[in-house]
Amino acid sequence: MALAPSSESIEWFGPGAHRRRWRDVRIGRFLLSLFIPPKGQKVVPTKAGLMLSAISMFIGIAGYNSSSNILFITLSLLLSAIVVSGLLSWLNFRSTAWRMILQPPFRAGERAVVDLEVFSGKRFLPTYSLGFGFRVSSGDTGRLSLGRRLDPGETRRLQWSFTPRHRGRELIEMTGVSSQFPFGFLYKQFGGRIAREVHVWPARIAYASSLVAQAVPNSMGDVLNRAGSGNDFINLREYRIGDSYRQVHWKASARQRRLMVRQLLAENHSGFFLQVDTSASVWSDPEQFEKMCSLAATLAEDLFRQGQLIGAIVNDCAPFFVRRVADLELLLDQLAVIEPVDAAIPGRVVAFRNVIVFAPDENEGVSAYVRGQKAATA
Amino acid sequence: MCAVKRRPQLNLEELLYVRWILGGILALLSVWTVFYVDPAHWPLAILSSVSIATAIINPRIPGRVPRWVWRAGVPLIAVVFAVDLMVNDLIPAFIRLNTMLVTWRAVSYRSRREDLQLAMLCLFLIVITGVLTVSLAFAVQILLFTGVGMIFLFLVNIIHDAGDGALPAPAQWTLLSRRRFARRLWQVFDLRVIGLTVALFVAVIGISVVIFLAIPRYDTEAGLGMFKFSTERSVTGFSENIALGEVTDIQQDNSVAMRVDVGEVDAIDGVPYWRMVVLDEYGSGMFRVSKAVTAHVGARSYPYVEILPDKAEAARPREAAHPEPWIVYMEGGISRYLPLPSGFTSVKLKEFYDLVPNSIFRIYSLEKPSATLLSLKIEGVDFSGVIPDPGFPALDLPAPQTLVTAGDPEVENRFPYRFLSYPATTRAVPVSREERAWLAEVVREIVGDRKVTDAREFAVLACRYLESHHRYSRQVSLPEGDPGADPVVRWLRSDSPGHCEFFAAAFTLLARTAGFPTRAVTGFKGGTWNPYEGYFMVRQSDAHAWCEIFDGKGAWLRVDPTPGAEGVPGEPVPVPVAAFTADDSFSAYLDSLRMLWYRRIVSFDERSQNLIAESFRNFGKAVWIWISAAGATVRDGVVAWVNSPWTLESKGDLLYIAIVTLVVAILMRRLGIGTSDVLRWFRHGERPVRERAGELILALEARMLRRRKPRRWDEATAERILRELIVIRYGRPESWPDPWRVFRAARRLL
Repeated sequence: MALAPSSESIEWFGPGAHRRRWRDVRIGRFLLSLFIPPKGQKVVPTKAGLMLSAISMFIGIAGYNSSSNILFITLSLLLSAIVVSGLLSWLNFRSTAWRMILQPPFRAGERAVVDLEVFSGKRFLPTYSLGFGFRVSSGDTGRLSLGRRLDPGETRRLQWSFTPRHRGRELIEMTGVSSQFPFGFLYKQFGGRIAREVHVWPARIAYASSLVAQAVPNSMGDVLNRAGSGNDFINLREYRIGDSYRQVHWKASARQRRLMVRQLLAENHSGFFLQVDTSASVWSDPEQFEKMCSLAATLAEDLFRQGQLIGAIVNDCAPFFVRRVADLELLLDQLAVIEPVDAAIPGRVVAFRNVIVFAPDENEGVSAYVRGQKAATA
Repeated sequence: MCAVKRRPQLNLEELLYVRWILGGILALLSVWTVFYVDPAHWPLAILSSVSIATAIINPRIPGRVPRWVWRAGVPLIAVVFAVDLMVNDLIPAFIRLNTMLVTWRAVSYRSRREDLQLAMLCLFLIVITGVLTVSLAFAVQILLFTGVGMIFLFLVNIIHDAGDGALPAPAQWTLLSRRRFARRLWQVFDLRVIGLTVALFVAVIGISVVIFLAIPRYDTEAGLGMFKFSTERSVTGFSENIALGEVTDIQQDNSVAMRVDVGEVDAIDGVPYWRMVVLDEYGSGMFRVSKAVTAHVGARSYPYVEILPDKAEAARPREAAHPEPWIVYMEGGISRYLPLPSGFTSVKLKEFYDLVPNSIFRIYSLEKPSATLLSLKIEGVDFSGVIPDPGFPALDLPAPQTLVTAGDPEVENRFPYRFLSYPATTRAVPVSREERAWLAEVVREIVGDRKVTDAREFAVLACRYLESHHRYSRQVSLPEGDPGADPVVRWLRSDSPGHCEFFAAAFTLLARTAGFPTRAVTGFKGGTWNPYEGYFMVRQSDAHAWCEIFDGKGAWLRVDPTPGAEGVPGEPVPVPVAAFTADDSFSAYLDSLRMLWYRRIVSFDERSQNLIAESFRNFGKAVWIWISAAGATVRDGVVAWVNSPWTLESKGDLLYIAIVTLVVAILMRRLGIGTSDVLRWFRHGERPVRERAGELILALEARMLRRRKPRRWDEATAERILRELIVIRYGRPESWPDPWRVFRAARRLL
């Protein structure tokens, strides 16, 4: 039996996801599964299937009443068509695997893409007519069809998109795989549910800014997210001509048997630190609160792009530096899930002068302040 | 990931085109079944076939039809059906309706729902016509329909899925160039797919055969007549009025009229005569069932599922009766009269039929000829040619001399011919006085000076007379003479050859002139034996006319005066008549397929099912007996071997085998070789080291995840071996540890 390609870390699901050997097959369980579908799987007759059943029943009754073997022949052909339909449906699912690949970022109000990779591990038979159901916790649903035939050994990527409405946690589910293959009499649903929780970042928002004008040099020791001559260590790399000998990491060089040097972060003197306080007493209006989240996320991204974002602190959590994209994503993840809290004690950021704080504005707006001066408005 | 070689596949437009063609073929297959039902349906079937074929060839045509035509179509069909229903019977009207609907759906552009409707309508049409005709053609057509229908439904499903509900407009796919389309079909043609399709079809047929055999049957004696279908079509020689030559006309047709399943060929010990119509009245070269008889027996039908003989018939001796039942399959449109032997103990019908019984002649008829196959199971078949009629002598039979007619005004006034009642009709000689006198002369010539009172004796003499004066020929030309004269007397006066009707009519006139009540009978005589399937074929060319003469004691005797026939049963004939001949021609072979169909499929019932079950049981028993005997032989051999003296000479081989097995087992264990390795080695030869390491990694990891571990399991060792295996699997060969040592260790641990 074929094994789904496993070079990528995302797990495969479906009958072809794991190598199965004949010795692993339990005959009793297999026979039972022919009559009672395993958990998560179900077989439901379609309208055409119901019609076929009704016709079969009618022909059967007529056959018994008239003792006509012509009707019994027709009945047996119809029943055998149903049996073969089940057999083909089983073969169609066999050795097929699928996995869901998410394509972050997920941002409120923007189109989000979910990839589904389908793989056929069959050697000879192609796979037809698979349908994949999707659902997200905010209510969107959708269905992806395999479309044209999936040849043996072929992997195909299908794409489903949706638009998250709000920031927060979103559960993206592939609810199951279904098929009416081959004749459309039976609707077979194969479990294989895949669910992933993602953070939907706040929507980007338009704002008026005078941040740069408000900025003043910070105290020494603040760092930027680029290599420089600060004190914070970020990486080891091989020695290049021109590197200072003071940067050589002797222990690492001894281990690697080649010269290795330290890489340090550059220091910054004019960056901003983002402080988000979600006290319910301040943010009584939910719309203003959402707007604040959006403004904070938008500012964070913009400042990071300009190399002006030093770090952030959300409520009483520990402050952290935003040096890499991962740090920014962590911040946006936090902004995705923050809620107004009853008694938040804002953390103190004493070392930085350019601390951006947020406050509700009149006309349901939100403003960002740096050292008490309004620096941005949304 | 392995490299995938993609086969070309049809795009959506091309698939839609294939679906269109398949839908048309499906419709054609179903419409063609109508040709087997009744010629009255042929014009509609031809029109439908032409329309569908045109639409298949040029799918753009339906697009050119104005939209209002499509809108008006179904209501128009409904109106036609309503009118048809008022004029005709339900079943023919329903067949026509179904044919029109199939055609309508096949020539119009269809959605998925309409595709399913088409498939359903086609199925209905095939099933209904199949039930009505019960012909072998149904078997062929339902098989073809199954194959094409499955591919059609498969395509409909694929297209629905590929199009995701939104399909291209017909204007797109109908514009496909036929040449390009054919080229594309050739491109995607794959023998493997064809093979798979055929295998699938065979699987469907195989499963359906199993289901057909396994569907429980209950012998309900008779089914409900749900699909009876009568026709106006009938062979004129088997009706109430038969002119001279009509039976001979039937003989021109060589098609099979009846198939008779008699079991063994030995069951036929004489020439079978199948009585269908008995005609008591003769006049001017025409035989009739007299109005008197018709009036007496009435025309009212009664539902019959079994015909039982009356008291006289039941009381007759049964020496001549065949012990096994005979099953007669009569084709549709032959006659409304049932073909019956001289005697029987019962006749069972497949289902209830409305029959008109004629207790005087002991014949039975349907109200109208059946358009479909009619099967009769006749028990106690008796072709002795004796038909008991103990009540006949008691009837008021006028004296022979009073029964003259045309040309004798005196008698005609007293006994008007048209008012002759039965049994007078069986003795009437409706010819002129002069002809009657001539007939009397002939009778005197036949009997000589003797006074013959025995009907049998007279019949033998009359047959001899006729045979000596006339030869048999299907081509008859009456000699010139008085046009008003009776044609049979004219023929009798000549030495012209004649066919069976002339001989029967001549005998009738002579016997009646001699004073013996006589009547004519038409039906079938003889037949041919089909050696392929072992049954008796009666063709239309076996149609025949003969006579029945009353013996004066209480029975009618069959007399066949045609030269070459048996004459009077039980009497010696100049040339012995062969009961039948065997027909091993190709047409007989084709006909045997039909019989196979009727015998094995159409007549499959509870009894047949029990026979199959019995044969399976017997087979199972035979297998069990064989296994038991083989087991007993082996057991006895082992016991004898164990009980024999245990000396080195006798048991040395065992010791040798045990030692070798032990050594091999120890070696395998030491080398870490499992039995599965040995088996694989035999199958595939030596495997690459990396592959073997990969398998052991999987096995070791699986063992690590399990709760239950072997007794010799050691976690640290397992980790170490796993690391070494990983190096062998993925590392450079220079960095490998000794693979065989690692494999051995892994095996031991597992």
